[in-house]
Amino acid sequence: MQALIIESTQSTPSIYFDQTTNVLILKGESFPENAAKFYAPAMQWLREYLSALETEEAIVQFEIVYFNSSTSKVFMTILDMLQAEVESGKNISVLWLCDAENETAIECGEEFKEDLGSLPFKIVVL
Amino acid sequence: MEDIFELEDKVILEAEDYIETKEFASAEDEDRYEKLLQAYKRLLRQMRTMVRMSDIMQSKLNTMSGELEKLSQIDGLTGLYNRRYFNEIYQKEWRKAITDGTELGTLMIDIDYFKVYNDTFGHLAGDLCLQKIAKSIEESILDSNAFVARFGGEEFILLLPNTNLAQCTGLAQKIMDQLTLLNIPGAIKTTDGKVTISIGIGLMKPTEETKLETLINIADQALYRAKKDGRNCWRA
Repeated sequence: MQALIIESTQSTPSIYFDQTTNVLILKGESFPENAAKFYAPAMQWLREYLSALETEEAIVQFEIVYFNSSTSKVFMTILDMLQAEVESGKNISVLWLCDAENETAIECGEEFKEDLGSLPFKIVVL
Repeated sequence: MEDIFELEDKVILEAEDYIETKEFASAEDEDRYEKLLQAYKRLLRQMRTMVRMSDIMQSKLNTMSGELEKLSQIDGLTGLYNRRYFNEIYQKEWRKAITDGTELGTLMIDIDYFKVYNDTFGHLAGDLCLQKIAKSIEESILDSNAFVARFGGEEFILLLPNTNLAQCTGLAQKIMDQLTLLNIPGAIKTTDGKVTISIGIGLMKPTEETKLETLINIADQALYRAKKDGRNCWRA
């Protein structure tokens, strides 16, 4: 398995998923025209990664300034996948990074968090 | 409507009522039905969250777009409206004057010897001078219906809808008097060594036949006469 690296564009975030460090980072703005298509490689990579993940701790880090509705649906699907893995005993936590001045991102982080069960989800205000 | 998802909630209630009736062909069917209902509830919860987040995002973007629109109308240095926005207002007032059959006035204001001022005291002092004069003009027109904008480097423009010559000249004199009170030391040793302005007044009743730029040209020519007549005065 190789790391998944996708550079950011004006409307899509950078994706840096590294199985050697177990840190998975999504960073930037997310307004893809077709969110399902844009995130398909990331979802595929994540599925393979999660099935191979054992006891080591994995950190999924979101640092998303603005995102559209389709992106929020994709993120919920990702969080659901992570949630299911945590319920089956895996050690995964999510960090939602946002700038102190970006109230919108903080509020959205809280909305995501509210919807979750036992998946650790921490909002980190920078 | 109390909730935008009231139809979805109704579906859930109906499904729960149906489970109560126990009218299933088998226990497996009942189990499957319950699981589908749970999945539906979970997806509906997600949908609610998505809508809330989308509303937060859109409201933020809406505020930002409003702020940007406001910024795009303002001259960064003086805080007055800029020429782009002036043109927009000018066109609107021009149309309105044609419809109402009223006179439209403009005052073209130019700071005298501003290049010399900049060369003598530096551009930062020049900026300060522009800011002071902009503020002074703004204060002079507070109780009128005039609209003021920065037209160019050291030029300001006033637009007076539904006006007459007496009002225009009165306002021009008021602006000059107000500036005199400021006592800004100038670079030229005339007029007591103070910064002065010249004003050209344009006034006309626009019609469908007249061109939009005519009024500005009239004010420009009047300003030219004011400069030619020794500056520190207004001409109409």
